[in-house]
Amino acid sequence: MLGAAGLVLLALFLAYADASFTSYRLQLVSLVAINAVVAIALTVTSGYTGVFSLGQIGFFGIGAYVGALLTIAPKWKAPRVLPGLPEWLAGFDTTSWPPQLALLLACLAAGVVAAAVAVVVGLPLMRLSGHYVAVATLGFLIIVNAVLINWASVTRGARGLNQIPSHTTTWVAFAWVIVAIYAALRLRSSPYGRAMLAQRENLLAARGIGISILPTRLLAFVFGAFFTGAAGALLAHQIGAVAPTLFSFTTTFTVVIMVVLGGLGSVSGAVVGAAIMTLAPEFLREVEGGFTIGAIQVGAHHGLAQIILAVGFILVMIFRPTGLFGDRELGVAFLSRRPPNFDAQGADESLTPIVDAGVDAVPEDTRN
Amino acid sequence: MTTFGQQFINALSLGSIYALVAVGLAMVFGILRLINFAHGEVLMLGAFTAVFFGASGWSFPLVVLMTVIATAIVGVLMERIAYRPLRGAPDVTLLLTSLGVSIAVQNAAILFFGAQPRPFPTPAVLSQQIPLGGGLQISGANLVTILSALILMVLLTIFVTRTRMGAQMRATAENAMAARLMGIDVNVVIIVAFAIGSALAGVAAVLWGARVGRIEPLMGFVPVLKAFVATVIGGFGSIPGAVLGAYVLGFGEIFLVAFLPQELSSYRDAFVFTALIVILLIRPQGILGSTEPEKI
Repeated sequence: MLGAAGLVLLALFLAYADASFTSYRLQLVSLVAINAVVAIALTVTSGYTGVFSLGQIGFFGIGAYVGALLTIAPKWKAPRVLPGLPEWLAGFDTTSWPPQLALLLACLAAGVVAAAVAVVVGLPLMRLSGHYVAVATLGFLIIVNAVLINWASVTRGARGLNQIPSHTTTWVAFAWVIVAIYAALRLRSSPYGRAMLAQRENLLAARGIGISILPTRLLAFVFGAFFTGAAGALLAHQIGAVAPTLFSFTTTFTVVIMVVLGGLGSVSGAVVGAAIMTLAPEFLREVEGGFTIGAIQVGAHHGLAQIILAVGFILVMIFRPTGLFGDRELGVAFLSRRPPNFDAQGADESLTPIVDAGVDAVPEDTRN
Repeated sequence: MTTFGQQFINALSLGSIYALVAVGLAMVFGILRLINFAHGEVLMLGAFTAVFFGASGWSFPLVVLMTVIATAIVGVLMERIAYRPLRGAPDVTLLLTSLGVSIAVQNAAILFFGAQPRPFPTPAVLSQQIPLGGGLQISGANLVTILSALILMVLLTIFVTRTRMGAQMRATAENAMAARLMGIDVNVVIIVAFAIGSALAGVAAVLWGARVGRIEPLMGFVPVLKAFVATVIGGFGSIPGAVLGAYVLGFGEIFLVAFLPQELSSYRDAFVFTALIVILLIRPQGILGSTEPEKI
């Protein structure tokens, strides 16, 4: 019921946006959707399982390049431009296809390739936990970047690919958001999703009731990679050009903030986080342009927006480490629930137990 | 043979810088289980301090001294402002916060210093080539790097193994709760760890500046990432392990570039991180690490 109402509202908003927004604003709306898909994917990969991946953007990059190579017109990917491309791909022509069909193919192919890479990468990496998996996935991201920069015969190196047809519309982008939300929520209430949550809460107990940890984590990793890859293709067809710098560590950090800000493990939190982190820099850009507080004139400052976001993020980590929504979802239950501090305790606990009480357990009262 | 010798010196020098950075990471990790990504920004601020005092005409040793003092203060401030309120929080929260600190400091530096790279005023002594015989020569910068790393590591070892504060530090890393019950002021230990680690990063900043020749606000990322790999190779939280890992990494990198075919040498970072992943899988506790990490 609420879902249907939400869909109608979304459709009304998109129709309104189509009719009255400038193309720049429309692009911003699409970017919110694309980032939301990535954030939902990371919510599944890391939020559901507690396995912290810093390599998500690697799949974003793979998806963007795969999608772009499929739909770029053959004359722009001829052997003299991209000599390393296999013949069938160089001649693969979608220019006469309906744009949305070409985009759908690009997104699905991007998702499947990213998911296949995730199986190969995840099989060894998902055996690790805690810091170790964060470091190893960061390594994966850097390897992807090195390949994108150096494999010039296919990727054009640091210059990146351009001439990608702009097929992505706000409608398609939000369709992917809805599919991702639906899939993520369905996954969570399925036995596989329950297994993910269970092994996050207590590895030993989960093993005890017969959950195989590796396949469970691998499924979450591959699920996340598929949607991130598809979102990469959406991005490529939104901005029309891709370059390795788009898929750097900074992007990873932004997506991680989206997910953590919304609440690690909350799908709707990821969407809200994506919206905040995509739109906030736009508002803050005006701050960068200079403003006045009372009599104080603040000049134009580049980087100020980033500082404000980063400091804001640190404050959230300190004062509300579970993010805005924690593990919960935005919905009827959320709207009608009791005041937050009533049951905040339970939500806090749900996020902590990945850690073994070891050296890190500096007692509470050493604060300050 | 001369090429090999020359590369050997290069690798030793690069490993020394990584070691100076890695020790700071390892000390903090050993005590707080925090991977301090913002350590690279300590290094970056150190480099800017050095340029500031260098441009004001101070003599080189004084510049180094001021840099070390400045970075120690920066490190302690970071701990006080960002990390102390999170004491006892999950590992991942700490890691993310340090990323936040890193981004905030980077952008603050862009705001105040500008994004343009600046030349690093390397003193003439350091750019001199000193012949070693047998056709080998060593640049002043490399010599100073290798020697200062050696001296500082010896001093650090003495500090950790022979002094009261060093013992307290080891005790806290072993078991913070028990250390507190034994009357150790854990907060003081943590501050000292940050101060020493950051001071070493200050030394590394000057040496890195002299090596690369220019500095910029985003310069901290690469050294800290490499130092981070070094601590993983050597074993998270182990100081000797971090030093060993740093030299392994330095040698690996230099010799990969020297002996791989040209078209593959640009994949250097990919090789480094592939090696890292392999090590994590085969021996996740690192070469010298003792604690077996949670593994499925």
